[in-house]
Amino acid sequence: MIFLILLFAAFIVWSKEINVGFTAVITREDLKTIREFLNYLSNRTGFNFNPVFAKSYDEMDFFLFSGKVDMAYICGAPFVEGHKRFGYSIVVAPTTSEGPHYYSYVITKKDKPYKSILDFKGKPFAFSDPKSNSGSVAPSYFLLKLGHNPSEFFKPLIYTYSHYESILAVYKGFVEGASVDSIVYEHTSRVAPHLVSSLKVIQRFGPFPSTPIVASNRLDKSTVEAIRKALLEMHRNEEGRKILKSMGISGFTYISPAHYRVISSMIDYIAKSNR
Amino acid sequence: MMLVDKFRSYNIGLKLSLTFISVIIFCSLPLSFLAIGYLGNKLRQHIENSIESAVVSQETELRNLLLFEDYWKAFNKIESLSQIPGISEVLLVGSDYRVIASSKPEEHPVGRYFLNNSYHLRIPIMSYDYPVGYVLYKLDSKYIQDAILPLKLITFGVTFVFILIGTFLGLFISLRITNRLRYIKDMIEKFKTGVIPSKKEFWERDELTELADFLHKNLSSLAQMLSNLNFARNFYESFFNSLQEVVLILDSGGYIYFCNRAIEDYGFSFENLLGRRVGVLLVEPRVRRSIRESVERKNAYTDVVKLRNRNRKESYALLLLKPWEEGFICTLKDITELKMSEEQVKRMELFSMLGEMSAHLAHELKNAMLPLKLLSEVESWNEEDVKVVKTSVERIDRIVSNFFYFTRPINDEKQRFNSVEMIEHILKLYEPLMKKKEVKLYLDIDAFELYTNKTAMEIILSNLLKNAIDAVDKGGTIKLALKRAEGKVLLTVEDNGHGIPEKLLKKVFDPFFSTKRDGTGLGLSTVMRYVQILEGKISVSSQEGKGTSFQVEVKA
Repeated sequence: MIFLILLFAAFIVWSKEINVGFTAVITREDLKTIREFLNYLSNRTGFNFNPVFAKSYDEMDFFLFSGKVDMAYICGAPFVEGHKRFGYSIVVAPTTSEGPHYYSYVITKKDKPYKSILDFKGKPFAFSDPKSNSGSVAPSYFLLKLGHNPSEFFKPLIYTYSHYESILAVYKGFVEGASVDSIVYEHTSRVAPHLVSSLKVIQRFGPFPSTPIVASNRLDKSTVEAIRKALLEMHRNEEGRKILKSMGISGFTYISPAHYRVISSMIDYIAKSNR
Repeated sequence: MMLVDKFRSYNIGLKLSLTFISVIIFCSLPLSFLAIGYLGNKLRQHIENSIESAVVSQETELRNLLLFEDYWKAFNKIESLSQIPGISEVLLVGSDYRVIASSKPEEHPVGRYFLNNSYHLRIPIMSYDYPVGYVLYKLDSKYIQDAILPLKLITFGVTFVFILIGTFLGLFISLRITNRLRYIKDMIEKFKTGVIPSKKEFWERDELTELADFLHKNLSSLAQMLSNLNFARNFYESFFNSLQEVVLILDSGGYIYFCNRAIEDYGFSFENLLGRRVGVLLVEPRVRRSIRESVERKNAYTDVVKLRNRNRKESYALLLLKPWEEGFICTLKDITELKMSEEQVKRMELFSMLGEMSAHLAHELKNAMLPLKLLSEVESWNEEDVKVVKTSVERIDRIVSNFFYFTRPINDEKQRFNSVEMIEHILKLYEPLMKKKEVKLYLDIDAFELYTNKTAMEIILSNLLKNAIDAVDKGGTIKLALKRAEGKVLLTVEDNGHGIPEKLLKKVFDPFFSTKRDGTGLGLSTVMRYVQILEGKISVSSQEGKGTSFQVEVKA
């Protein structure tokens, strides 16, 4: 009987479907790595993980809010807002060799004369997502601090809704420059070196706490814990390290929401400036 | 014109090749250009259709991208449109031509205004019935050129191959033609030297080969014929040249076109005489004129002629001119020696005659002087003696005068005169005498022009008429006829006198022979002499008791 109860419990556990949302913080085009990552988690936790992709952070917010997505890999800025409004909790945050933080890179082509984001005045410039920290909030904050409204400073300001596509936009010459996530940029330099080889980083903003994997408040704590545990231990085995390397990170760590105040204050400043 | 002249002088091969190449170029190249142009247009149209259908199928999406100014998505869309083969650039612009996206952002940066240029084609993005923007695109001419390049290469390659084939074909055909033409030319050239090359077989069986075979066959026959002719010619030439007689072949106008080598004996050569008249060989104008007339009338002519001899010798020949085919054959048989012998005989005869004449003359003078000699021994003459002396002196005078008349030289000047006038003149002289003897005169005179020595003719006629009058009895008959036949004048004087005994007939022309009692015997001798001067002939026929007839034949 006990065996049957355990079997049933195991069946329930095994059959739990968890939808994981992916946004621009990860190279969504690298579906293979995403599948390996989720399979790894399934193997470690016993849950079924399904990838769900959103075009923007707003959409991902909606997915988390509506329950379509149980946990999501989002940017610091949407986390700050979501944490405040919908009680998102941090599962883990990725860490690189430099630590659990990242930068907003201002990139351009190597043959371009630009030295700073200020040199792009009147030029087409790409932001990734309006709610992206590295791809929008950080450079906007920097410009606003200097009295420049980004939507007027660049002509035009273009949203690609993806750091990877911002890199592509610069590479293809569609825009003169872009501000992108440093982790995505470094990852791209490994998976698509031909793109990055013709680009250069002329300015960086940060460091900022790295883009977290957050959980909806509908996901029970034990599940979150099981997943967190699996993620925090990921760098300890060969399979995990291999997947982490493909993702452009060295592992996961836990960061408390308080670390994201720096982003929160920037968002507040921007909101105040636009009023 | 110079080009035409140059073209005319090109050989047949070059002309054929140029003709082939021209035909190929003028036919093939325009067709090639048309085909290439057509294909280019078709390809262009296809590309335009492709992008237009792509734009139409995505019009809603493009319209939204325009409305929301979603630059990046617009860029991706435009970039995908620019991937349509044959498109070099695609732009999405707003209705105000502000660039929303460009497949070549470096050239047309986003946010800038597109400066209109004619190289871009335009597809409007419609919202209801007005455009909210345009898709501008530019055709990739290099792509089109590259696409039709294989066709170009094939076309030009094929044309080039055709030109090569045309050139080689032209050269080959011309080589075949000139080869046969050269064979024909060589055949004719060799034929001229009397050789016919062996028959050559050609691969072609066309008109030219037929002509070559035809020529070979006919020239071979001709060569055989010429060989026979040559043999005949050599034979006849040798034959002619071996003749001692000069043989001249004259054309219808009397001009020499052949003569044998016998002419060289006279210091002439065939080359000297070619194309000249026979008259050039003759001394006497009379003969030259006669030959000219014979040639004009196509008559035969025979005469003894004096030849020009460049070797400065006096030459005589028997000339025979005979019509032959369209021309004449003229032969000149040298009779110089015969003539010389004849002259010598004549001279000897003359000497003999002179001796005889001298004897006769001495005898006659002695007889005439005998009464004077007898009377010289008489101391006084009576009237009868004086009469005898007078008669003797008259007789001596007549003998001397006649002799003188017989021997006097005459000039050989010729003149033209009328036959009737001459007869009338002579008859007038003898009219009293004929009246006295009541002679019945019968005349048969043709009226014609004579060209000869008039004096000689008058002396001949006068002596013969005088003889006839003397010969007839009172009331006798004399027939006088003067005719012309074949360039000769025939004079006949016939009487019905006593006639001459046959045994004396041979002597009638001897000087001092006379059957008349008081005749000097010099009348007929004089006639004979003048007939000889005129190079004529005289004959006599007589029957005792019936009469005598004298016939004189002279050239006049």
